[in-house]
Amino acid sequence: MTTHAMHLRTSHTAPRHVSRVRRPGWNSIVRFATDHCLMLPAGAVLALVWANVWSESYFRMAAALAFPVNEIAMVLFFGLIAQEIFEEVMPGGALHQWRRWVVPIVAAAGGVAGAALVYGAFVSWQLEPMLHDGWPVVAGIDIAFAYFIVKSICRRHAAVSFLLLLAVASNVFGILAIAPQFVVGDRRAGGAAALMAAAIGLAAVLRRFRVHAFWPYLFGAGGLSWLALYVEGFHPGLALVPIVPFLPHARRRLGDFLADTDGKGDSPRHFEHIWNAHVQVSLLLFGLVNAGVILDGYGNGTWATVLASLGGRTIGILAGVAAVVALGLRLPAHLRWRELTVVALAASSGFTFSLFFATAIFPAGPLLAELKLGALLTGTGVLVALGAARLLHVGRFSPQAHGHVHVEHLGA
Amino acid sequence: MPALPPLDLYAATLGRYLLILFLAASLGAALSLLRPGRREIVPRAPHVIQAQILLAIVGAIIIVVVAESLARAFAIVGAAGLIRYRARIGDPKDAGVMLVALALGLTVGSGLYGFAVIACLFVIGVLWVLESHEPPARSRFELTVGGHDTGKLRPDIEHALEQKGVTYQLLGSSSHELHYEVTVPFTEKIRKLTKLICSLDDRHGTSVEWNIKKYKVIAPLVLVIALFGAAPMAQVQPPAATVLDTVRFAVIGDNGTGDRAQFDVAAQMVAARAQFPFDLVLMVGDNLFGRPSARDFADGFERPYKALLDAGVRFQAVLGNHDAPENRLFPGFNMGGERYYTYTRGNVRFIGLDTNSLDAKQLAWFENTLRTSLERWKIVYFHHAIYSNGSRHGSDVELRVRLEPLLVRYGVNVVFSGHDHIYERLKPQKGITYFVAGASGKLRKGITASDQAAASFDQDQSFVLVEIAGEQLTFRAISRTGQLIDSGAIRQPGT
Repeated sequence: MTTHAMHLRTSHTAPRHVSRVRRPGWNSIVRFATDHCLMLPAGAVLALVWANVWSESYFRMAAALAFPVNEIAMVLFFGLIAQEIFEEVMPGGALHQWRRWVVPIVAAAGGVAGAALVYGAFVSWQLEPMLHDGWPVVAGIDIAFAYFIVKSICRRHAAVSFLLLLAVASNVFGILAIAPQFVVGDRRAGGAAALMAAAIGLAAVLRRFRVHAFWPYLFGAGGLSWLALYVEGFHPGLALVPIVPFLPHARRRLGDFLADTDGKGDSPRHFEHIWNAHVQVSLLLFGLVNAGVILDGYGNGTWATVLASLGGRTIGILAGVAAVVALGLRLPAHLRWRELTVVALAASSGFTFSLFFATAIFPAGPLLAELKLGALLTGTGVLVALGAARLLHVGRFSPQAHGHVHVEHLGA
Repeated sequence: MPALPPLDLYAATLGRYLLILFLAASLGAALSLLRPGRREIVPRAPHVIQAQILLAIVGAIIIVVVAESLARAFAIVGAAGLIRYRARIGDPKDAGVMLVALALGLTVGSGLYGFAVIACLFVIGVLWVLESHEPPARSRFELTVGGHDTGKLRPDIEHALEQKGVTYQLLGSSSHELHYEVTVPFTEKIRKLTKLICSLDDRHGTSVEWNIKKYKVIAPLVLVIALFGAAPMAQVQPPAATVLDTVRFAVIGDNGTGDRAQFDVAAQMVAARAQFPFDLVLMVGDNLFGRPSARDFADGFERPYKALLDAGVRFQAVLGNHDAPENRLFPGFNMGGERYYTYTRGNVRFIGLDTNSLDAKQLAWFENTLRTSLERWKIVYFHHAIYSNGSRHGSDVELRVRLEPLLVRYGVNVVFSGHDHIYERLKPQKGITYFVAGASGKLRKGITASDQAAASFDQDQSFVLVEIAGEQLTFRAISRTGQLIDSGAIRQPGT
């Protein structure tokens, strides 16, 4: 959802009626990459090449940058995600009414369960008990990858918003699953709870006094929250998650999900407006630091991740939807089983989130390398989704596609 | 000629200075001496207490001297820079207390008596709270128990040690002697423990000997207070090797299959032991494939190595990717429930690591262990090879980047790994000899040709025998059929 919004809102920074001036060289490439959320894949490709050509220098760099990138820079990324989710829950948001999100959330739960079952069964079969703890890796869905592929297939169709809700829910399940397994820092009980209380208290006071600038929230409350999570041993990359609900939000209108504002008087919008470029740079660095794996470093963790994401999650999502339909709930309008199959396959790409979950669960080493390689390979899920769409005549591949576009419906 | 101040003014000033110095010393002494009364903690050496008192006085003197000078502020900053620590302090808090003592002196020197007293009481209070939550300190000893039949006594001795909160690690055993490394809580008296152990033998033929393990970096404790210059660093020499400190051990890896090949290798180990009496086996991971049941432990470990276990050979395992995390709790692997651990044998420091999960905590522990290790030989073993020419896995470069700097910096001599199911010895890499011994059960043929390799073998299962005597380590790699596939010697650098 975040990358969706980021993409759309960034595109709006230049009025559409103004003809684009072609910028020469580097700037236009960077603009194109940020607009299309390609910074992370670019970082990943760079990392893969570097790691396989000059391994030692790459891993030295990765070891040096792992903490500032994974534990500090990613704070903004997860802050934006938390903001998106929170806004969708607010009145006017796509998740505000339970009927709108219950089907995708149950589908996400089914997907996580299916993927986890396949993952667990595979590593048990291959006698790799050390890998069991890595199952949350297969809960991750790369929102950008999935969004772009479904968007390109289905265009403005209910499948797009269904996929976004499903992906966000699945990633939230993944974050909840890895929370007890985070290994950053040592657990030092006491103090952390007080720090977190102070962080939330400060955010509440700022809100009470109607402070609209996001800096005090970011560096004051966010800083305390970061410290609290770090001291307690949780991943400090999630530091802004408990702070975001306190940012003063303007009331959203239905349809704002696809629109842009300049952010005046609305801290989260201002926050997103200013930090979007930084987040994209963070994602580039995240890909660069975490995606570098030796290509022959594959192992059972790699195959378990790929099988679970492409097979287990797809079947789990479809089974989850089937369960709620059997219970009497209706699918969103224009969403049929063939579209659902394509959505489920598009959701098999873990990439960013799987990488994040993997680095949160395992420290650097061969197990992490196996899982990271698996996370990267799940990116092939988008190709499978494309193939399925062609086979099932979905969206642009349907006979009626020419000149006919569904109207997007946000939910049921 | 200016008029001299009246005598009573001199007396008053002198009295004030005496008051300053007395108060500074008293507060410094209070800080040093009052703390240990709280509970059993590491006692401070007398010269540490003296230094703390002196520092308070030094601070007071400096302030008295510079009191009328504009440079007072600079002098205070300078005073904090006067201290040079040239050796470790037993309790790290003492470093902080040193500075507090100096600060108290400075405060008294400035004439802020009330504040100095309050600050002192506050610091004592803080330390009182901190040390109330400090675990009791322990002493390390080598414990040797001699007797007619120590094998029978062993369970009773170990039970008694556990009852008294003593942690132990069996270093060696024979029919008439048990040799442990133990850590004893400060609250336990050695005399009482000796009596307890002797009382376990009805025939009263038991002898008990305790040898304290001295940390030579700590003793002598040296705190150098240098004024405007640094004293030369104390040179700590490694202990001289003795003729008798011979250590023999075997190395196996990727062995826990429970199949015929593992039994064959075990049989060769038993045969080799007749000529080469080793009492220690390093297991470099994949000791049991999968999440094992009790029966798997029997099939994959206890039955193949029964003859060695019955002879008192001690197995020391680290975890591989096919081991279950809970395998560290299996008593036969002697991991003490830890993923990584260390122990000594004679003049050899052994360190076992868990490369499945090489987190920052483990790395910090590893570096600290290496830094404080004074043994002449340092042997490190873990599962994933950071140098290997096995065609399946090869070198793990990511682990190498994290481990190699520590291995090189702290003078590790030899590293044993597995993961690739071959035998390989590499030419010394940055002064360290690496062995891949991952074919003691599993075998996977395929070795990539490399200039780094000194010897390699992938035609059959194998294991390694090692002897360390004085400044030389000799090794032999033996195949499943008893064939000698590699041998050689490694000498300490500079010998």
